[in-house]
Amino acid sequence: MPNRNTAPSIVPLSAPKLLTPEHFTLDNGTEAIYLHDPNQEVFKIDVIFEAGIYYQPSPLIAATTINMLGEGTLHHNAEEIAGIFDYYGAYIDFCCGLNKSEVSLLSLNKYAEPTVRMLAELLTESTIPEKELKIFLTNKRQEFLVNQEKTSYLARKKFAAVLFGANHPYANQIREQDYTATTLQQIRSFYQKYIHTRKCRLVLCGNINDSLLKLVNNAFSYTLAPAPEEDFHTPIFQPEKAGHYPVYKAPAVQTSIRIGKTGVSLTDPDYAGFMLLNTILGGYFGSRLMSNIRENKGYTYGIQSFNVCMPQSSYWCITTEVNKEYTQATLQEVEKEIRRLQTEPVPSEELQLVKNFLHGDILREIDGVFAQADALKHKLNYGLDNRFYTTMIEQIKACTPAELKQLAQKYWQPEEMYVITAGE
Amino acid sequence: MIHFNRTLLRNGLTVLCNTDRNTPFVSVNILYKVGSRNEQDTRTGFAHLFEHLMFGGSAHVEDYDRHVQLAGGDSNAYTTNDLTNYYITIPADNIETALWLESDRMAALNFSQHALDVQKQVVIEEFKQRYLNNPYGDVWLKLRPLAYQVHPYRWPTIGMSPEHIEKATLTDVKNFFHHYYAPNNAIISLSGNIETDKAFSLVEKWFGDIPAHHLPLPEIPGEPLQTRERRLVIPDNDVPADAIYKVYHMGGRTSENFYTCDIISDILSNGQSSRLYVNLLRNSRLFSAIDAYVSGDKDPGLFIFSGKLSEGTTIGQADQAIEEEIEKFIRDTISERELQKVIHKTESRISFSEINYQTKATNLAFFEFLNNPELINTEASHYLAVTPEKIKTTAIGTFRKENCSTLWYLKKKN
Repeated sequence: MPNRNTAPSIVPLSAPKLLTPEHFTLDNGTEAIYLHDPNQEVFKIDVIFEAGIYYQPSPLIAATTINMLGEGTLHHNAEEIAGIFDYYGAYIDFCCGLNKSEVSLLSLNKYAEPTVRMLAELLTESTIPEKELKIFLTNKRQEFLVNQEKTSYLARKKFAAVLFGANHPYANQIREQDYTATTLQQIRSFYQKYIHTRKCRLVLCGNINDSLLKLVNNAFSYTLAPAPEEDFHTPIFQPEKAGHYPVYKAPAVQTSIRIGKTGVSLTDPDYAGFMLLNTILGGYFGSRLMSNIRENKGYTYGIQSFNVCMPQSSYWCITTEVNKEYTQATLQEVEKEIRRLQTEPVPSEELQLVKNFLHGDILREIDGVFAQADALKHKLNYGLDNRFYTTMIEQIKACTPAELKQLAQKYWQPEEMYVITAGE
Repeated sequence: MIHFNRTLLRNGLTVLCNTDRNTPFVSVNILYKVGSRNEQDTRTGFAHLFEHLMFGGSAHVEDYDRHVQLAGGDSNAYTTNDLTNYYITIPADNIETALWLESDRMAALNFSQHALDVQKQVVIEEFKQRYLNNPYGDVWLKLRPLAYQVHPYRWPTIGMSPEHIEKATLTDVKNFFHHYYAPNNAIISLSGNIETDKAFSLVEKWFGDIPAHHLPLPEIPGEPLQTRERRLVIPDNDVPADAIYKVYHMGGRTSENFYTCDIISDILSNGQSSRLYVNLLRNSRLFSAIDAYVSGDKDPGLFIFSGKLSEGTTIGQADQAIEEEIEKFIRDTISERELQKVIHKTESRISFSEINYQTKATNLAFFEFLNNPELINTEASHYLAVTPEKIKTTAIGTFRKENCSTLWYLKKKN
């Protein structure tokens, strides 16, 4: 009979086992970083361009351009391109971020040759056909209209607008008419300027054997275009005053709430401590917000808080969808939970629990070659690598209740908060 | 190839283990063979509500989550029409914490009126968030009872309506627990950094003394053969575009029919070179989104066509266009390359799923639930056995008017 009365003893968590990234410079000067795991039979290549929303001259341009890469090249039309990736069971993905744009290929090693060559062709020979562009924009417009019906989308949009200023690219304010105003010329010129034979970074992971590296070097052997002319005007943040911004949407049986402000950058010495503080408040299932507002009061299915870093800024926020009857009550409880962290030290038992959870969470975040490559890709933008996590774990372990209280006071002043409520 | 071992405890608990040294974690997955298909039609949504209550503590554990988190673990659960699945990923050294917690709540869950009251509210908010406060969110609340008249698949796991959830009592909770949460109605699978021998002996240590229950499992009524085409129109929805759903009855998850239908759905709509995407979205532009897929339920399920209409397309045109694609599919021969393409896609999907230890643990339990854990390694061969002839006969047998339910989900007229 097992002894159920006492919990099994807990072994302290280990330090992360980091794979060492290898560096490889292609003949054309492109920088490639890879994490090799010989046990895999698949690989992933991310091609990363400095071509995100931050650089677009008007709304939708960056995301449309990156998504149009698969829609036609000098040698293949859209159906043929999709046919090649589909035939070899590969996945091609286009992703537009705030600063970076990415094209990712996930493929079996045995089909590396045709899929890697097709990937390279997208980057150097895209034609951006007019018909496909029209279809893309029409269908995206419809997705946009669906999103406009969601209170959560409206809250997120308003939050970004007041925090960064509606005209800053980070706010990414899209209007319905942008879908009809976007022209072929704009997309083609963005492609030429930011993607076509432009400098990029390759991050590879999985089974990155010599023959794959050779293939990549060969497929990406085009001459890099010289850096584009510098006519880029750095956008300026023009935040609105902090305060409450309601967004009216009816009918709505729930209210979407977003509360937040500028966050803490990855490179800030406060980062590890702030992440710990955020986890206590709303960063895990047992957080104070979840315990109070979901598990104790039943106002919501979920409430969470998180911090997002971007190269030129960062933000922190709390999000939830609540029963519309409890909108005010939820706001008051959130305020109360923040004030508690500013005035009372976190009890040592709770602190130890959150430290362990966060440690485990970090280990999960970098578990395996694919996860480590994803984590590394993000860290490279800040001149860091995954050793960042080892340091962060040490800093989290050392963090004291007094420090957490100070951080809560420093970062969570009520008069600096933006509060968005979207619903009836 | 995934190597695994299987054993059965004396109390009827099935145990499976796969060792994966690529991770410092172990995923502990417990599947209870109960889902919304086991509910009464007067108390739907109960299996899912019960899943929430499983986190409310047990005889020796005041706070389940606290111990998971202290051990550096993470846990969650989900309910489907067929099953309820709980999982913890935990550093391998702390495996016993997971087994202690899971065995304690299997042996003696706490029943509390307060927890029930709060979780009822939480689930009702979940109902609103996913089904009511979300464009097109209520489609399946309407479509299921159209396609099924008798079988409990006629309601979704969240339940038919929030009123059913409000009605749940503590007595219902206790009865449900004693009916279904027994070792002989459960499967535990582990994958990660642990040896099989150790896994088996630890599972025996923590679960071995939990008594089996007598399981008077009520018979689930089979869905009678549909003999007439069904149609339903829902007007005046707060959505920007009309949508159409056409669903056909098909075989259950372990039938040969399932594999053939899955291949058919891939030919029709997996990837941007698939037929529906090319013909209806790229070329005729009648749709802004189009999809064909299979439900994959244990009992006979559904083959689903769903599409969102482009501006200017009438719902009648859309309906006809899908029917024409089906006719073409039946009439024209499938090219060797087209079939090869979907088989490659299936093979690669299976390869990618073998990377992650959590997926392996979940799949092992799921295939054991289907009474054939070997499927984790043999599924690909079932797909490979699908021939163009089988595809044709299956399509003819499935895509019949009298086997079809059609839902027109229309936007509000200006």
